[in-house]
Amino acid sequence: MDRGKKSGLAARNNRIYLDFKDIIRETALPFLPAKSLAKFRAVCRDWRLQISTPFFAHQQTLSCRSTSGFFLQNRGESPFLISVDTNSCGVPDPSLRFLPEPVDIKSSSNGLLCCQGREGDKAYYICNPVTKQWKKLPKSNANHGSDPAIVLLFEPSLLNFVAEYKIICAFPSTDFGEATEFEIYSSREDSWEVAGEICFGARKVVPKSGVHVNGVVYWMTPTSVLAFDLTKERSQFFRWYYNYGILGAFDGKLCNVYATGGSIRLNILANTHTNTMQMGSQTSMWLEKKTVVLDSKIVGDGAMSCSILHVDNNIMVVHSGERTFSYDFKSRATKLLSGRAGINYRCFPYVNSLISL
Amino acid sequence: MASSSKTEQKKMLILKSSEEEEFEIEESIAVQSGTIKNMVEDDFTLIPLPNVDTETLIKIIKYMKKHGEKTKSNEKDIEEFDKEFVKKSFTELKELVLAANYLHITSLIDLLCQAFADRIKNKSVKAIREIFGIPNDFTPEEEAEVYEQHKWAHEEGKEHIDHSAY
Repeated sequence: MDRGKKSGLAARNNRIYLDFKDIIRETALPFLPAKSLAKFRAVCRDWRLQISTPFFAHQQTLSCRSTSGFFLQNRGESPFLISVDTNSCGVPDPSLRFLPEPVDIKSSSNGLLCCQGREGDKAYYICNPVTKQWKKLPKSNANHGSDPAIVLLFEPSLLNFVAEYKIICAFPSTDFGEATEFEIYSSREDSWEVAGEICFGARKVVPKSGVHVNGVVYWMTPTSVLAFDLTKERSQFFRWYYNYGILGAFDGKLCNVYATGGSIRLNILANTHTNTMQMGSQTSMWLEKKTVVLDSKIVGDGAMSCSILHVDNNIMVVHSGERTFSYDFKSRATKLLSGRAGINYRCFPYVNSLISL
Repeated sequence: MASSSKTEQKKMLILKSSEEEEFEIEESIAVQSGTIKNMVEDDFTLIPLPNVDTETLIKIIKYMKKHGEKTKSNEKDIEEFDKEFVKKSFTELKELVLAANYLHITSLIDLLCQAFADRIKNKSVKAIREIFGIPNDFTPEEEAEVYEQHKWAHEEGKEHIDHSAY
Protein backbone atom coordinates (compact mmCIF):
# COMPACT_ATOMS: atom_id res chain seq x y z
CA MET A 1 0.00 0.00 0.00
CA ASP A 2 1.37 3.35 -0.95
CA ARG A 3 1.53 5.15 2.37
CA GLY A 4 0.71 8.80 2.46
CA LYS A 5 0.88 9.43 -1.26
CA LYS A 6 -1.98 10.97 -3.20
CA SER A 7 -1.88 11.92 -6.83
CA GLY A 8 -2.40 15.52 -7.83
CA LEU A 9 -0.30 18.65 -7.84
CA ALA A 10 -1.77 20.00 -4.62
CA ALA A 11 -0.88 16.83 -2.77
CA ARG A 12 2.69 16.74 -4.10
CA ASN A 13 3.30 20.29 -2.92
CA ASN A 14 1.79 19.60 0.48
CA ARG A 15 4.45 18.78 3.07
CA ILE A 16 2.21 16.46 5.05
CA TYR A 17 2.53 13.89 2.27
CA LEU A 18 6.34 13.70 2.34
CA ASP A 19 7.70 10.20 2.14
CA PHE A 20 10.02 8.72 4.72
CA LYS A 21 13.25 9.41 2.81
CA ASP A 22 12.31 13.08 2.42
CA ILE A 23 11.42 13.47 6.09
CA ILE A 24 14.78 12.01 7.08
CA ARG A 25 16.70 14.14 4.61
CA GLU A 26 14.97 17.39 5.52
CA THR A 27 14.20 17.01 9.21
CA ALA A 28 16.44 14.33 10.73
CA LEU A 29 19.77 15.23 9.14
CA PRO A 30 20.00 18.63 10.91
CA PHE A 31 20.15 16.78 14.24
CA LEU A 32 23.39 15.06 13.24
CA PRO A 33 26.81 16.23 14.39
CA ALA A 34 29.14 17.65 11.73
CA LYS A 35 31.38 14.62 11.32
CA SER A 36 28.47 12.27 10.55
CA LEU A 37 27.24 14.84 8.06
CA ALA A 38 30.61 15.12 6.35
CA LYS A 39 30.57 11.34 5.98
CA PHE A 40 26.97 11.21 4.72
CA ARG A 41 27.66 13.58 1.85
CA ALA A 42 28.84 10.39 0.17
CA VAL A 43 25.42 8.70 0.40
CA CYS A 44 23.90 10.20 -2.74
CA ARG A 45 23.65 13.43 -4.72
CA ASP A 46 20.51 14.64 -2.92
CA TRP A 47 22.16 14.24 0.47
CA ARG A 48 25.36 15.90 -0.72
CA LEU A 49 23.34 18.86 -1.97
CA GLN A 50 21.16 19.05 1.13
CA ILE A 51 24.11 18.99 3.50
CA SER A 52 26.09 21.64 1.65
CA THR A 53 23.56 24.49 1.66
CA PRO A 54 23.91 27.50 4.01
CA PHE A 55 20.29 26.98 5.04
CA PHE A 56 21.12 23.47 6.14
CA ALA A 57 24.10 24.69 8.17
CA HIS A 58 21.73 27.12 9.86
CA GLN A 59 19.21 24.36 10.67
CA GLN A 60 21.96 22.12 12.02
CA THR A 61 23.31 24.89 14.22
CA LEU A 62 19.86 25.21 15.81
CA SER A 63 19.14 21.48 16.09
CA CYS A 64 22.47 19.94 17.07
CA ARG A 65 23.18 21.46 20.49
CA SER A 66 24.66 18.85 22.78
CA THR A 67 28.32 18.82 23.77
CA SER A 68 30.17 16.63 21.27
CA GLY A 69 33.51 16.67 22.97
CA PHE A 70 36.18 18.72 24.68
CA PHE A 71 39.20 20.57 23.40
CA LEU A 72 42.06 20.15 25.82
CA GLN A 73 45.24 22.16 25.77
CA ASN A 74 48.34 22.51 27.86
CA ARG A 75 49.96 25.92 27.65
CA GLY A 76 52.55 26.07 24.91
CA GLU A 77 51.35 22.83 23.32
CA SER A 78 48.87 22.12 20.53
CA PRO A 79 45.25 21.60 21.44
CA PHE A 80 43.58 18.24 20.86
CA LEU A 81 39.97 17.09 20.81
CA ILE A 82 38.41 14.34 22.88
CA SER A 83 35.09 13.33 21.32
CA VAL A 84 32.21 11.91 23.22
CA ASP A 85 31.80 9.60 20.22
CA THR A 86 34.68 9.59 17.75
CA ASN A 87 32.61 8.20 14.90
CA SER A 88 30.01 10.91 14.77
CA CYS A 89 31.81 13.92 16.25
CA GLY A 90 35.12 15.30 15.17
CA VAL A 91 37.03 17.97 13.29
CA PRO A 92 39.47 17.67 10.40
CA ASP A 93 42.33 19.39 12.23
CA PRO A 94 42.03 19.37 16.03
CA SER A 95 45.38 21.08 16.49
CA LEU A 96 43.95 24.10 14.65
CA ARG A 97 46.82 24.31 12.18
CA PHE A 98 44.53 26.00 9.68
CA LEU A 99 44.94 29.20 11.70
CA PRO A 100 47.75 31.54 10.60
CA GLU A 101 49.77 31.05 13.81
CA PRO A 102 49.94 28.71 16.83
CA VAL A 103 47.28 29.68 19.34
CA ASP A 104 46.03 29.11 22.86
CA ILE A 105 42.32 28.42 23.08
CA LYS A 106 40.79 30.90 25.50
CA SER A 107 37.07 30.12 25.42
CA SER A 108 34.44 28.14 23.54
CA SER A 109 30.73 28.54 22.96
CA ASN A 110 28.27 26.46 20.93
CA GLY A 111 30.70 25.34 18.25
CA LEU A 112 32.92 28.42 18.10
CA LEU A 113 36.40 28.77 19.60
CA CYS A 114 38.08 31.97 20.65
CA CYS A 115 41.86 31.68 20.48
CA GLN A 116 44.84 33.93 21.02
CA GLY A 117 48.14 34.02 19.21
CA ARG A 118 51.33 33.72 21.22
CA GLU A 119 53.59 36.18 19.37
CA GLY A 120 53.65 39.86 18.57
CA ASP A 121 50.24 41.46 18.87
CA LYS A 122 48.80 38.32 20.45
CA ALA A 123 45.78 38.68 18.22
CA TYR A 124 42.44 37.08 18.94
CA TYR A 125 40.87 34.67 16.47
CA ILE A 126 37.36 33.23 16.24
CA CYS A 127 37.04 29.96 14.40
CA ASN A 128 34.74 27.06 13.67
CA PRO A 129 37.11 24.06 13.80
CA VAL A 130 34.96 21.82 11.62
CA THR A 131 34.43 24.22 8.72
CA LYS A 132 37.89 25.76 9.31
CA GLN A 133 36.41 29.21 8.88
CA TRP A 134 38.26 31.77 10.95
CA LYS A 135 38.37 35.49 11.55
CA LYS A 136 41.04 37.63 13.12
CA LEU A 137 39.55 40.15 15.50
CA PRO A 138 40.52 43.81 15.53
CA LYS A 139 42.98 44.88 18.20
CA SER A 140 41.40 45.68 21.56
CA ASN A 141 41.57 49.19 23.00
CA ALA A 142 42.73 48.14 26.45
CA ASN A 143 45.66 45.99 27.49
CA HIS A 144 44.19 42.65 28.52
CA GLY A 145 47.33 41.45 30.26
CA SER A 146 49.53 38.46 29.54
CA ASP A 147 46.83 35.85 30.20
CA PRO A 148 43.49 37.49 29.38
CA ALA A 149 40.42 36.46 31.35
CA ILE A 150 37.90 36.18 28.57
CA VAL A 151 34.58 34.50 27.89
CA LEU A 152 33.06 33.92 24.46
CA LEU A 153 29.29 34.17 24.23
CA PHE A 154 27.50 32.71 21.24
CA GLU A 155 23.88 31.58 21.03
CA PRO A 156 22.52 30.24 17.74
CA SER A 157 19.60 32.38 16.67
CA LEU A 158 16.64 31.62 14.44
CA LEU A 159 17.06 34.82 12.48
CA ASN A 160 20.80 34.82 11.81
CA PHE A 161 22.58 32.49 9.42
CA VAL A 162 25.88 34.05 10.40
CA ALA A 163 27.08 33.85 13.99
CA GLU A 164 26.54 36.85 16.21
CA TYR A 165 28.76 36.66 19.26
CA LYS A 166 30.37 38.67 22.04
CA ILE A 167 33.64 38.38 23.89
CA ILE A 168 34.03 39.79 27.39
CA CYS A 169 37.39 40.42 28.95
CA ALA A 170 37.96 41.31 32.60
CA PHE A 171 41.31 43.05 32.82
CA PRO A 172 43.34 44.80 35.52
CA SER A 173 42.67 48.48 35.27
CA THR A 174 45.65 50.58 34.20
CA ASP A 175 44.04 53.88 35.20
CA PHE A 176 43.06 52.80 38.70
CA GLY A 177 45.17 50.73 41.04
CA GLU A 178 43.64 47.52 42.31
CA ALA A 179 40.56 47.61 40.10
CA THR A 180 39.11 45.49 37.32
CA GLU A 181 37.63 46.82 34.13
CA PHE A 182 35.77 45.15 31.30
CA GLU A 183 36.07 45.29 27.56
CA ILE A 184 33.49 43.80 25.21
CA TYR A 185 33.82 42.79 21.58
CA SER A 186 30.63 42.62 19.56
CA SER A 187 30.66 40.83 16.20
CA ARG A 188 27.76 42.95 15.04
CA GLU A 189 29.79 46.16 15.43
CA ASP A 190 33.09 44.35 14.76
CA SER A 191 34.68 46.47 17.46
CA TRP A 192 35.83 46.46 21.07
CA GLU A 193 34.44 48.80 23.65
CA VAL A 194 35.58 49.35 27.22
CA ALA A 195 32.57 49.33 29.54
CA GLY A 196 31.93 52.28 31.83
CA GLU A 197 31.88 49.98 34.84
CA ILE A 198 34.93 49.79 37.11
CA CYS A 199 35.11 47.21 39.83
CA PHE A 200 37.28 48.29 42.76
CA GLY A 201 39.00 45.84 45.07
CA ALA A 202 42.32 44.06 45.01
CA ARG A 203 41.09 40.81 43.57
CA LYS A 204 42.87 39.34 40.63
CA VAL A 205 40.63 37.41 38.31
CA VAL A 206 41.61 33.81 37.50
CA PRO A 207 41.94 33.79 33.69
CA LYS A 208 40.55 30.38 32.82
CA SER A 209 37.65 30.53 35.26
CA GLY A 210 35.11 32.57 33.28
CA VAL A 211 31.58 31.23 32.82
CA HIS A 212 28.42 32.72 31.33
CA VAL A 213 25.03 32.04 32.92
CA ASN A 214 21.86 33.86 31.90
CA GLY A 215 23.35 37.15 30.79
CA VAL A 216 25.90 37.37 33.62
CA VAL A 217 29.56 36.47 33.29
CA TYR A 218 31.32 35.14 36.40
CA TRP A 219 35.01 34.75 37.17
CA MET A 220 36.79 33.39 40.23
CA THR A 221 39.23 35.47 42.22
CA PRO A 222 41.31 34.00 45.08
CA THR A 223 38.64 34.90 47.66
CA SER A 224 35.46 35.70 45.81
CA VAL A 225 33.41 35.51 42.63
CA LEU A 226 33.22 38.50 40.32
CA ALA A 227 29.95 38.88 38.45
CA PHE A 228 29.45 41.17 35.46
CA ASP A 229 25.91 41.69 34.28
CA LEU A 230 26.00 42.19 30.52
CA THR A 231 22.69 43.94 30.20
CA LYS A 232 23.11 46.37 33.06
CA GLU A 233 26.90 46.57 32.65
CA ARG A 234 27.26 46.38 36.41
CA SER A 235 29.69 44.27 38.37
CA GLN A 236 29.78 42.88 41.85
CA PHE A 237 31.92 40.68 44.06
CA PHE A 238 30.46 38.09 46.33
CA ARG A 239 32.17 35.72 48.70
CA TRP A 240 32.36 32.02 48.51
CA TYR A 241 33.65 29.64 51.12
CA TYR A 242 35.78 27.32 49.05
CA ASN A 243 38.33 29.10 46.95
CA TYR A 244 39.14 26.14 44.83
CA GLY A 245 37.33 24.06 42.28
CA ILE A 246 35.71 25.64 39.26
CA LEU A 247 32.63 27.53 38.21
CA GLY A 248 30.10 26.21 35.74
CA ALA A 249 26.49 26.50 34.61
CA PHE A 250 24.12 23.91 36.03
CA ASP A 251 20.34 23.88 35.57
CA GLY A 252 20.46 27.51 34.44
CA LYS A 253 22.32 28.63 37.57
CA LEU A 254 25.92 29.33 38.47
CA CYS A 255 27.54 26.39 40.20
CA ASN A 256 30.78 25.74 42.00
CA VAL A 257 32.27 22.27 41.82
CA TYR A 258 35.22 21.01 43.85
CA ALA A 259 36.75 17.78 44.99
CA THR A 260 37.01 17.13 48.71
CA GLY A 261 37.97 13.89 50.44
CA GLY A 262 36.89 11.13 48.09
CA SER A 263 33.93 12.93 46.65
CA ILE A 264 32.99 15.82 44.41
CA ARG A 265 30.59 18.51 45.58
CA LEU A 266 28.43 20.65 43.38
CA ASN A 267 26.84 23.75 44.87
CA ILE A 268 24.57 26.15 43.03
CA LEU A 269 24.13 29.84 43.59
CA ALA A 270 20.63 30.13 44.95
CA ASN A 271 20.25 33.86 44.78
CA THR A 272 20.35 34.79 41.13
CA HIS A 273 19.56 38.47 41.30
CA THR A 274 22.79 40.39 41.43
CA ASN A 275 21.10 43.47 42.79
CA THR A 276 19.97 41.66 45.90
CA MET A 277 23.24 39.88 46.64
CA GLN A 278 24.81 41.04 49.86
CA MET A 279 28.55 41.24 50.40
CA GLY A 280 28.17 39.98 53.95
CA SER A 281 26.04 36.88 53.42
CA GLN A 282 28.29 34.07 52.32
CA THR A 283 27.55 30.40 52.60
CA SER A 284 23.79 30.83 52.73
CA MET A 285 23.80 31.89 49.09
CA TRP A 286 25.07 28.53 47.91
CA LEU A 287 22.89 25.43 48.02
CA GLU A 288 24.36 21.96 48.06
CA LYS A 289 22.98 20.34 44.99
CA LYS A 290 24.89 17.13 44.38
CA THR A 291 27.60 14.93 45.77
CA VAL A 292 29.32 12.66 43.32
CA VAL A 293 31.67 9.78 43.96
CA LEU A 294 33.56 8.63 40.90
CA ASP A 295 33.70 4.96 40.11
CA SER A 296 36.96 3.82 41.69
CA LYS A 297 37.07 0.81 39.38
CA ILE A 298 37.57 3.23 36.50
CA VAL A 299 39.50 5.98 38.20
CA GLY A 300 41.57 3.86 40.53
CA ASP A 301 43.32 5.49 43.46
CA GLY A 302 42.86 8.82 41.76
CA ALA A 303 39.31 8.98 43.10
CA MET A 304 40.85 10.42 46.25
CA SER A 305 42.52 13.38 44.63
CA CYS A 306 41.23 14.93 41.47
CA SER A 307 40.61 18.31 39.95
CA ILE A 308 37.55 19.37 38.00
CA LEU A 309 38.07 20.65 34.48
CA HIS A 310 34.51 21.31 33.34
CA VAL A 311 30.92 21.01 34.48
CA ASP A 312 27.53 21.49 32.84
CA ASN A 313 24.02 20.03 33.11
CA ASN A 314 24.93 16.71 31.60
CA ILE A 315 28.56 16.04 32.15
CA MET A 316 31.55 16.73 34.36
CA VAL A 317 35.17 16.39 33.19
CA VAL A 318 37.66 15.48 35.88
CA HIS A 319 41.41 15.12 35.88
CA SER A 320 43.10 12.58 38.08
CA GLY A 321 46.54 11.00 37.98
CA GLU A 322 47.52 12.04 34.43
CA ARG A 323 44.18 10.93 33.01
CA THR A 324 40.91 12.63 32.14
CA PHE A 325 37.50 11.19 32.97
CA SER A 326 33.92 12.14 32.30
CA TYR A 327 31.01 11.69 34.67
CA ASP A 328 27.51 11.69 33.22
CA PHE A 329 24.95 13.08 35.67
CA LYS A 330 22.01 11.23 34.12
CA SER A 331 23.52 7.79 33.77
CA ARG A 332 25.95 8.26 36.70
CA ALA A 333 28.60 6.55 34.61
CA THR A 334 32.29 7.34 34.91
CA LYS A 335 34.26 6.99 31.70
CA LEU A 336 37.92 7.31 30.77
CA LEU A 337 38.30 10.07 28.18
CA SER A 338 42.01 10.34 27.64
CA GLY A 339 45.30 9.11 28.91
CA ARG A 340 47.05 12.31 28.05
CA ALA A 341 46.32 15.20 30.34
CA GLY A 342 48.04 17.10 33.08
CA ILE A 343 46.81 19.26 35.89
CA ASN A 344 47.44 22.49 34.02
CA TYR A 345 45.34 21.54 31.03
CA ARG A 346 42.51 23.82 30.07
CA CYS A 347 39.27 22.19 28.99
CA PHE A 348 36.76 23.68 26.54
CA PRO A 349 33.38 22.09 25.78
CA TYR A 350 32.76 21.74 22.06
CA VAL A 351 29.61 21.28 19.95
CA ASN A 352 30.10 19.80 16.45
CA SER A 353 28.14 22.57 14.76
CA LEU A 354 28.29 23.88 11.18
CA ILE A 355 27.79 27.49 12.27
CA SER A 356 28.93 29.98 9.68
CA LEU A 357 31.21 32.87 10.57
CA MET B 1 -21.40 25.90 18.88
CA ALA B 2 -18.04 25.11 20.38
CA SER B 3 -18.12 25.07 24.14
CA SER B 4 -15.81 27.47 25.94
CA SER B 5 -12.88 26.06 27.91
CA LYS B 6 -14.46 27.35 31.13
CA THR B 7 -17.43 24.95 31.08
CA GLU B 8 -17.30 21.50 32.68
CA GLN B 9 -17.95 19.65 29.47
CA LYS B 10 -14.86 19.62 27.24
CA LYS B 11 -15.34 19.42 23.52
CA MET B 12 -14.51 15.96 22.24
CA LEU B 13 -13.42 14.81 18.81
CA ILE B 14 -13.39 11.40 17.23
CA LEU B 15 -10.29 10.26 15.38
CA LYS B 16 -10.74 7.40 12.96
CA SER B 17 -7.81 5.23 11.93
CA SER B 18 -7.26 3.76 8.47
CA GLU B 19 -8.72 0.52 9.86
CA GLU B 20 -11.93 2.38 10.75
CA GLU B 21 -11.39 2.22 14.52
CA GLU B 22 -12.57 5.27 16.41
CA PHE B 23 -10.97 7.06 19.34
CA GLU B 24 -12.45 9.85 21.41
CA ILE B 25 -10.10 12.66 22.42
CA GLU B 26 -10.44 16.15 23.87
CA GLU B 27 -10.24 18.82 21.20
CA SER B 28 -7.83 20.88 23.30
CA ILE B 29 -5.39 17.96 23.22
CA ALA B 30 -5.96 16.95 19.60
CA VAL B 31 -5.18 20.38 18.20
CA GLN B 32 -1.51 19.81 18.96
CA SER B 33 -1.84 18.33 15.48
CA GLY B 34 -1.85 21.11 12.90
CA THR B 35 -3.77 18.93 10.48
CA ILE B 36 -6.52 18.21 13.02
CA LYS B 37 -6.59 21.87 14.03
CA ASN B 38 -7.31 22.85 10.43
CA MET B 39 -10.12 20.35 10.20
CA VAL B 40 -11.62 21.54 13.48
CA GLU B 41 -11.59 25.07 12.14
CA ASP B 42 -13.58 23.72 9.22
CA ASP B 43 -16.09 22.36 11.78
CA PHE B 44 -15.17 18.68 11.63
CA THR B 45 -15.73 16.64 14.80
CA LEU B 46 -15.16 13.24 13.22
CA ILE B 47 -11.62 13.26 11.84
CA PRO B 48 -10.84 10.46 9.40
CA LEU B 49 -7.13 9.64 9.24
CA PRO B 50 -6.76 7.24 6.30
CA ASN B 51 -2.96 7.54 6.49
CA VAL B 52 -2.63 6.38 10.10
CA ASP B 53 -3.18 2.78 11.22
CA THR B 54 -4.72 1.92 14.60
CA GLU B 55 -1.52 0.88 16.35
CA THR B 56 0.24 4.08 15.37
CA LEU B 57 -2.76 6.24 16.21
CA ILE B 58 -2.91 4.81 19.72
CA LYS B 59 0.72 5.78 20.29
CA ILE B 60 0.17 9.25 18.88
CA ILE B 61 -2.84 9.83 21.11
CA LYS B 62 -0.76 8.75 24.10
CA TYR B 63 1.91 11.29 23.12
CA MET B 64 -0.57 14.11 22.66
CA LYS B 65 -2.29 13.35 25.96
CA LYS B 66 1.03 13.45 27.83
CA HIS B 67 2.13 16.65 26.15
CA GLY B 68 -1.31 18.18 26.47
CA GLU B 69 -0.93 18.24 30.25
CA LYS B 70 2.37 20.10 30.19
CA THR B 71 2.91 22.33 33.21
CA LYS B 72 6.01 23.90 34.71
CA SER B 73 6.29 21.20 37.32
CA ASN B 74 6.14 18.09 35.20
CA GLU B 75 8.89 18.93 32.70
CA LYS B 76 11.17 16.14 33.98
CA ASP B 77 8.26 13.72 33.86
CA ILE B 78 7.61 14.54 30.20
CA GLU B 79 11.34 14.26 29.45
CA GLU B 80 11.27 10.73 30.87
CA PHE B 81 8.16 9.90 28.85
CA ASP B 82 9.80 11.14 25.64
CA LYS B 83 12.94 9.13 26.35
CA GLU B 84 10.88 5.96 26.77
CA PHE B 85 8.61 6.81 23.84
CA VAL B 86 11.41 6.53 21.29
CA LYS B 87 12.58 3.16 22.58
CA LYS B 88 10.81 1.41 19.76
CA SER B 89 11.82 -0.59 16.72
CA PHE B 90 13.00 1.20 13.60
CA THR B 91 9.82 0.19 11.74
CA GLU B 92 7.59 1.50 14.53
CA LEU B 93 9.48 4.81 14.55
CA LYS B 94 9.14 5.00 10.78
CA GLU B 95 5.35 4.58 10.96
CA LEU B 96 5.26 7.15 13.75
CA VAL B 97 7.25 9.80 11.91
CA LEU B 98 5.15 9.40 8.77
CA ALA B 99 2.01 9.82 10.86
CA ALA B 100 3.45 12.69 12.90
CA ASN B 101 4.40 14.44 9.68
CA TYR B 102 0.94 13.87 8.18
CA LEU B 103 -0.68 15.13 11.38
CA HIS B 104 1.83 17.96 11.57
CA ILE B 105 2.75 17.57 15.26
CA THR B 106 6.01 19.52 15.27
CA SER B 107 7.33 18.51 18.68
CA LEU B 108 6.77 14.83 17.89
CA ILE B 109 8.40 15.12 14.46
CA ASP B 110 11.47 16.67 16.15
CA LEU B 111 11.55 14.04 18.89
CA LEU B 112 11.41 11.21 16.35
CA CYS B 113 13.95 12.81 14.02
CA GLN B 114 16.39 13.26 16.91
CA ALA B 115 15.91 9.56 17.67
CA PHE B 116 16.63 8.64 14.04
CA ALA B 117 19.69 10.88 14.04
CA ASP B 118 20.99 9.13 17.16
CA ARG B 119 20.49 5.75 15.53
CA ILE B 120 22.13 6.53 12.22
CA LYS B 121 25.01 8.78 13.22
CA ASN B 122 27.45 5.89 13.53
CA LYS B 123 26.38 3.99 10.48
CA SER B 124 28.51 3.55 7.41
CA VAL B 125 27.53 5.16 4.13
CA LYS B 126 26.64 1.75 2.76
CA ALA B 127 24.37 0.96 5.72
CA ILE B 128 22.58 4.30 5.28
CA ARG B 129 21.83 3.50 1.66
CA GLU B 130 20.41 0.11 2.66
CA ILE B 131 18.31 1.45 5.52
CA PHE B 132 16.65 4.16 3.45
CA GLY B 133 16.70 2.40 0.10
CA ILE B 134 18.85 5.08 -1.48
CA PRO B 135 20.65 4.13 -4.68
CA ASN B 136 24.20 5.32 -5.18
CA ASP B 137 23.81 7.84 -8.01
CA PHE B 138 27.38 9.12 -8.03
CA THR B 139 29.69 8.44 -10.92
CA PRO B 140 32.92 6.73 -9.78
CA GLU B 141 34.77 10.05 -10.20
CA GLU B 142 32.19 11.98 -8.17
CA GLU B 143 32.26 9.37 -5.43
CA ALA B 144 36.05 9.44 -5.24
CA GLU B 145 35.90 13.24 -5.03
CA VAL B 146 33.37 13.37 -2.21
CA TYR B 147 35.38 10.85 -0.17
CA GLU B 148 38.60 12.76 -0.82
CA GLN B 149 37.12 16.13 0.13
CA HIS B 150 36.03 14.81 3.52
CA LYS B 151 38.66 12.14 4.06
CA TRP B 152 38.93 12.96 7.77
CA ALA B 153 35.30 11.99 8.34
CA HIS B 154 35.75 8.57 6.75
CA GLU B 155 39.11 7.50 8.10
CA GLU B 156 39.09 7.96 11.85
CA GLY B 157 37.42 5.45 14.09
CA LYS B 158 37.02 3.09 11.15
CA GLU B 159 36.99 0.08 13.39
CA HIS B 160 33.89 1.31 15.22
CA ILE B 161 31.76 2.14 12.21
CA ASP B 162 28.50 0.25 12.27
CA HIS B 163 27.87 -1.43 8.93
CA SER B 164 24.67 -3.11 9.97
CA ALA B 165 21.52 -1.97 8.26
CA TYR B 166 19.45 -1.83 11.41
